[in-house]
Amino acid sequence: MMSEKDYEQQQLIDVFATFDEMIEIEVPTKAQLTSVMMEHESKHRKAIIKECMLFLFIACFVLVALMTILLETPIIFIVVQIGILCFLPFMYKLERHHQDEGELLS
Amino acid sequence: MKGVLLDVQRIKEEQRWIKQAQLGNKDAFTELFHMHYSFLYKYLLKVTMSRELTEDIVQETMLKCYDNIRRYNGRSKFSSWLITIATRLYIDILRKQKREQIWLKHEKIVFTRQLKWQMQTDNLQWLEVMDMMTKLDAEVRMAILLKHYYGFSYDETASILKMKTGTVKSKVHYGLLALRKELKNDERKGL
Repeated sequence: MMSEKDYEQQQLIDVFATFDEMIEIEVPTKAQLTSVMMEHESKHRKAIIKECMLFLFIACFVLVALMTILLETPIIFIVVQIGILCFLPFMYKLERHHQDEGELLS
Repeated sequence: MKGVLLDVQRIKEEQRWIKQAQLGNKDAFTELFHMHYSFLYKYLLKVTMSRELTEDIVQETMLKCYDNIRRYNGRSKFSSWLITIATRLYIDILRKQKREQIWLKHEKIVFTRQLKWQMQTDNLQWLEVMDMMTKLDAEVRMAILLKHYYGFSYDETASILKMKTGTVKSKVHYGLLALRKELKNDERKGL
C-alpha cells in the first residue's frame, strides 16, 4: 500500500513524464552541430588574436614611454611614434585594397 | 537482460567518445552531444518552460562543454555534467536584467498555453498541478525536478544549483507543499 506522500510523489513524477512524452524535439543533424562548433572556434580564435594585439600594443606603448623617460629622448621621437601609429591603419587598408585588386585581376 | 546489455554497450560507447573528444576529436564530441541532445532539451524545457530559451541554452551548453571537455573527470555521469552546466547557465540568465525576466514570464505563459492545447488535442487531462508547476519559482522547480524526477541526492542537487543543502531542502519542501495543495484541490474538483 502506497503512503499518501509516495502517492503524491508518484503523481509528480507522472506529470514530468507526461511532459517528456509530449515534447516533440527536432534534433539537429551532426553536420549542423559541427558547423556551430566550427563557427564558435573561429570566433574564439579571432578574440584571442584581438587580445594578443591589444596586449602587444600596450606593451609597446609602455616600453616607448619608459625609453622616453629613461633616455630623455627628444619630443620629436614621441611625435613620430604617434604619427606612425595614426598612419598605420591607413597603410593597412591601402595594402588590403591592393591585395583585393590583385586577386580580382588574377 | 537485453536492456541491461544495451545500457552497458551505450555506456562503453559513451566513454570511448568522451576519451576521443578529450583528445580533440570533433566528430567524437558531436556524436557525444548528439546522443544527449534530447535528454538535455527535455530537461531544459521543463526548467525554462520556453522553447526559444531552451534552444539558446542547449547551444551555449554545447559550446561550454566543448571548451571544457578536458576538465570532465568522469566522477559523475556525463549527462549530470551537462545538466550542471545548463542549470548554471540558466541561473545566470535569471539573475540578469529585469527586462529579460518579463520576456521569460511571457514565454512561459505562451509555452503553457501550447502545452494545454496539445494535451487537449491528445485527449489528455490537464491537471491543476501542471499549472502550479509552471507557476513555481524557477529555482524551486529545478530543485524538485532534480531531486524527485532525476533522482539526485540533496547534496548533488545543491552542488548543481550552487546552493547550500539546507536551502535546497527548504525549497523542495516549500514547493512540494504548494503542489500538494493543488493536488488536493484537483482531487476535490474530480469528486
